[in-house]
Amino acid sequence: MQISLRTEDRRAILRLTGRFEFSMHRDFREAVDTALQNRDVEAVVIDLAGVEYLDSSALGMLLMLRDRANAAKKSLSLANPRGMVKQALEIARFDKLFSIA
Amino acid sequence: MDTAAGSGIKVLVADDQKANRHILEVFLRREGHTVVVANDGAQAVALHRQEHPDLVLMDIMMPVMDGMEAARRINAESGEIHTPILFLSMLNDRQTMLDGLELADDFIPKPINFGLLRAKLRAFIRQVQIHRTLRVQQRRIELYNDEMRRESEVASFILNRVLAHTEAPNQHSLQYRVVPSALFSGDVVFARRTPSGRLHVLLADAVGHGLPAAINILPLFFPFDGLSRKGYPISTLARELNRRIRDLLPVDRFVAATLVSIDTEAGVVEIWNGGNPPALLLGPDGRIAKRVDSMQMALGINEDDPALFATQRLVFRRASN
Repeated sequence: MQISLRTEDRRAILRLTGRFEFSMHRDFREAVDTALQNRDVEAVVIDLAGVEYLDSSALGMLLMLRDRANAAKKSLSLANPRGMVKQALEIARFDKLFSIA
Repeated sequence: MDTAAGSGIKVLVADDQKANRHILEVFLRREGHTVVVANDGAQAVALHRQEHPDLVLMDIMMPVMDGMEAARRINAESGEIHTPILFLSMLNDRQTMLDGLELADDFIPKPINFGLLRAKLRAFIRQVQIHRTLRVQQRRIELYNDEMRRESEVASFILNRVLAHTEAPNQHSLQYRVVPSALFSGDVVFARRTPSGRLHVLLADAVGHGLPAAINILPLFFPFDGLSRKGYPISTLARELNRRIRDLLPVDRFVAATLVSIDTEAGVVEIWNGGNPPALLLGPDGRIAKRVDSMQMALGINEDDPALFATQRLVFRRASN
């Protein structure tokens, strides 16, 4: 699992690739911290295009991120889920909490 | 002297010449190392066993047991972590050196050039320190693993006790199979008959595995059991269970759950599915007659709004009718 973070247009885009699961808790948290601490950032986008698998702890990490983004008054959205990831988000009904593009 | 701190190591010196032993001992102590001395190979083997030195400096030609044989035995007795051996010898012909290097890690000709010895010791000390660090880390990992295993056992124990209090799902002609992927995964089935004869079933799947998953599941059991015994509908159960998880667990913890109420008299099934894969109702022909997809998010994530806990009602006929 890899995370890359880039900022453009007041948006922080976290691009994840590989398996989004428990083992990447620390890396995800660090990337999220960097994005949320940046005063210029108004929106955080999690780009899931490169994610092939996601487990329930990844869903937990997204919930945690949502909480912290709310506290930091930044908007949050998920982008480009595909295959199994899209299905997992549907079953979890995360469309009710997140804007998913 | 505590050799665990600093760069000092424990060195076993084996030489049959008292003068040689003395000169090495003085040199090594001055370098900050601890020294153990042996007069021959047999003593060296015994002291290696007893003192667990980090490094052995050994002469080859010695009475009782020569350095080659002693090295062979020390190598055989060094367990997982190899004790480096450095031969010091006047026999510096090519063949002896080659034979020596089969058994030892390095070879220094006598008379000893102390500058060379110091340089070689530096390399060995680095090696010893890496071994020490590895040993400490390995021990830490072992302890951590043991702790994890114990915690997982506690989790299984508690959950088995809880499950022992539920009615055995089989006693309601309910067949089920759960395939856990760890000693305890967060998957459980609870069942309870209501006073009016409906059967309540909860299929729950918590985030993660082991003890955390068990902790997520535990708050569900008593409300499920208590409210079912009092005959409350599953919409009430779902709302209450959601509230429990929400109140008790951190924001990233939740429990995907399917709650089912089966009324065989009326031929009606009520289902609430929060975050689980679809529940399937099979017809008498074994084909999928109805499918109830996840309606809401898992327990613990939903707002405390009664509208979110509305159930889906399916009417079925038994095959015999």
